[in-house]
Amino acid sequence: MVENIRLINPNMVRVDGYFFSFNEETDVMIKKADDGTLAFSYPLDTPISSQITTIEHDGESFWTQENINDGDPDAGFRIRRWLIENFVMVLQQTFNFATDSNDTFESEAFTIEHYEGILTSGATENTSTFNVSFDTDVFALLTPGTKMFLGPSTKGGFVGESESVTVNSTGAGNLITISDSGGLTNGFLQGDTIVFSKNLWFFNEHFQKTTDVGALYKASALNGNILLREQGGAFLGINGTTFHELDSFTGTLASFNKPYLVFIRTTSLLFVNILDSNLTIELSALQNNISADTLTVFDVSDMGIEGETIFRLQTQISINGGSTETTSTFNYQLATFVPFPTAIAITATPAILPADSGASFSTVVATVTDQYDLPFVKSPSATIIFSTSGGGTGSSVVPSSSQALNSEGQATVVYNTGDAAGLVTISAIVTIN
Amino acid sequence: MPDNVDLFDANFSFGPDAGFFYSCDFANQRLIRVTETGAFSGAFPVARSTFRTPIKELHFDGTFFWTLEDLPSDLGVVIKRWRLSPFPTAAFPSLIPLELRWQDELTLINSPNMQWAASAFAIEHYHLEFDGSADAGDTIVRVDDATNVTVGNKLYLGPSTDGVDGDNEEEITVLGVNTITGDISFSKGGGLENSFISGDPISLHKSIYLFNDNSFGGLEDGGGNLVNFSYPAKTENFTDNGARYASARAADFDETTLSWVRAFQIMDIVITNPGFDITNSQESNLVEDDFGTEIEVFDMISDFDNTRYLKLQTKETDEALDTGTLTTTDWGGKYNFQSQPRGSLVNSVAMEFSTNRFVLPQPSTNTITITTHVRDQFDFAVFNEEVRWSAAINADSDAGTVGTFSPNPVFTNSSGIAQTVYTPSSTPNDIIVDITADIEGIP
Repeated sequence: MVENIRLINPNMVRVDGYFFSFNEETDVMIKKADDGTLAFSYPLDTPISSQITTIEHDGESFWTQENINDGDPDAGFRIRRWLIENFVMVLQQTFNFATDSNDTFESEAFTIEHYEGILTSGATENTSTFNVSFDTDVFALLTPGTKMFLGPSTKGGFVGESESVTVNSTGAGNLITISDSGGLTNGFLQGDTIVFSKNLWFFNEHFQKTTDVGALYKASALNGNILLREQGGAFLGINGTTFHELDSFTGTLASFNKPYLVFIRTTSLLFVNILDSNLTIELSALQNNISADTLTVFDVSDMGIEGETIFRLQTQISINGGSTETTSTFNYQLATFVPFPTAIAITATPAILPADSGASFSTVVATVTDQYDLPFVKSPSATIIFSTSGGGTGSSVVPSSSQALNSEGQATVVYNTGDAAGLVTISAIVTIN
Repeated sequence: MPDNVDLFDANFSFGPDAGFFYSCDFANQRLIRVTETGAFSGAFPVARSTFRTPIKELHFDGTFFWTLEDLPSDLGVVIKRWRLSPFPTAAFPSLIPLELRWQDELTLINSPNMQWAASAFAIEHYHLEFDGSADAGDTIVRVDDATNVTVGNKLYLGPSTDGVDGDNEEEITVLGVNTITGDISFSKGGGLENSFISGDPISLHKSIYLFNDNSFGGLEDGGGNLVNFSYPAKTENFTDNGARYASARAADFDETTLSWVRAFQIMDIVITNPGFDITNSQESNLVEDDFGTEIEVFDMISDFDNTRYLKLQTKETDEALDTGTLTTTDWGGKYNFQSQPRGSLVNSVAMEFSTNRFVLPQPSTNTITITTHVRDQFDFAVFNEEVRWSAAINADSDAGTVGTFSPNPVFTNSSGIAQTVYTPSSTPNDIIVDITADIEGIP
């Protein structure tokens, strides 16, 4: 049984333990629990005519992407922002990316760059200034006109309230001054959440008018103006993407704790550092959206992230190397940011020895790598144990007991020959403790 | 819930006889009356008009039946008012109804500027009662609640349960209202024709709400529009645009609340709310056991006295409380109702796993915090519900041993949240564990 959320549309975002998806047939946004139970639905105040290909959430608003003309994906697409108001999904903004003389727009994946921070001191109602901090140094992105969302408030009298404000200016000490007349409507306490959205990022099947080259576009979340186009084959054929601030890596991966544009290309989860002007892909994680025979890559139509868990929306799943199961509905398959062993490569030097009952030996090195193709070190600790088969009496490895992996994810044993000529197989098993 | 009224037509309502359901039978041009188990108990042929197309909705305001039907050839829609006739009056007592007699209609013709496409409407009506007895010849009656009565309204009095004028009905036109005392004066030569006693019913209808799938611009755009017509003037009072009104499957009015079904939800608006904001929206068990397909509602009854809605459907989905398994029953084209409670019930349980859904088998150091959200059909947090977690090895998993939860069980807080910590077993295998949160034993 591989079905879980059983969505009939290829779009999904995970928020507060629920899955949200837009349905153009009934013009609603549905809210589902893990087992597919319909928890609630929100009618749209504006009908949608095309299937939503991507849905994102920035901490305040839901964002959707749809083709302008379902029958002609080259005609372009639109990105819309929605808010839940009074049990209804109310359209706030629409950005049309219609094919024109400069660009051919064809895209099924976008995300909204957004950042979450906290108030570093309380803010009373009617005040126009407050101080904030963010995990990532993004204060400079709070340019005049940027919309911020504060809340929910934990201050007595305003508990649960939230509001949107517009940045007027910033100052020393991460001070924000807002331009909203009358200042804040609600009061907030130190530690209350703030979020702001900055840019839209979408993967285009065209770089300007060039066909099938792939490009990453950046547009302002305020007005939809295109700010950047980056050509790259890695950006071609993308269906699932999202924005995520990594913050849980430790050890050698700790340097990757930063905001990323995360997207799936074939079986790779790629991480683009969007604060780097070169848009470098800094990390790549192997995914298991592939059949057991490794011949078929399963399409990922959308993706979401919660904590360190990745939710890939698919109609095909293979579990534990089992046969491919295809479902009529869209369901999630899980992956994790936490490093775990995905491969053990073993080398023996020399690889061919005479069967001389221990007179000859070979140095055997096992290298354990994780889904990032980085040395697997520990989590919190890992051991490896070697074994042999074939080679006759005396064919063995030393030491035969388990040993720790070194900082390169490696362990070494010595193979001693036996008394029988033939193929010797050396195996290794990694155990995580 | 098994089949009940077993109707052949996609409309139903309560009517003058408590405990019965009424439905317009298009094929035979009549109003039929059935029991809750579907037993046929009466028929009233239509008179002075006909059903030109199948009736899409039927309502009863205490005196009159109201129907919605499409005009032929895509000309528009028509709302008709009907009454079971004849009915006993002072002049003609002891009559019994034999037919469904047309009274009046509101015809909405399509035009280049306005296209009507509607499956749902409601009658703003109020059920009043005599507050104290009234005698024949009186020119003032006292009602239990005159809040919604205005000068010029017609009040339909009866049937009387007074011993002399038993079952007689009559109408009056309001001249003056005292909303504090409930006194209503009226103009009628000779005053009341009948005597009434305290508690005898009075009905009043004031306006019509029509859910148009198209926007007020009249385009066939699915934009949605709620139009209110005063009645009997039939003038347009106001419109409220929004796709929340598009594709409304069914609607009804009770007390001061306009309710309608849209996709998977029943939504309410208290019409005295000047902002016309939605008061409630509840998930209404309108999804098939494939977890995605919408079950269509063809008509509905707001039965607030019994804190429920009745939804007329051709299918229903039931949930086995012990397993959570959904099963959809198809009634083979017949229409039956399914009840939807207005009271809060646990409707969904969702879990967040912090910070990961993957955990390594090191019980001393690796745990997952599980935050469980319990919400009702209105999407509001449910307080003080006992949440009990359990774990089982997934069928696709290798063999292994599940972990433990602590604390377990936990009652939800005011935010509808209960938290526990899952500690894995020391099993070194790569296993898949299904974690379930039960509410009072219901998964």
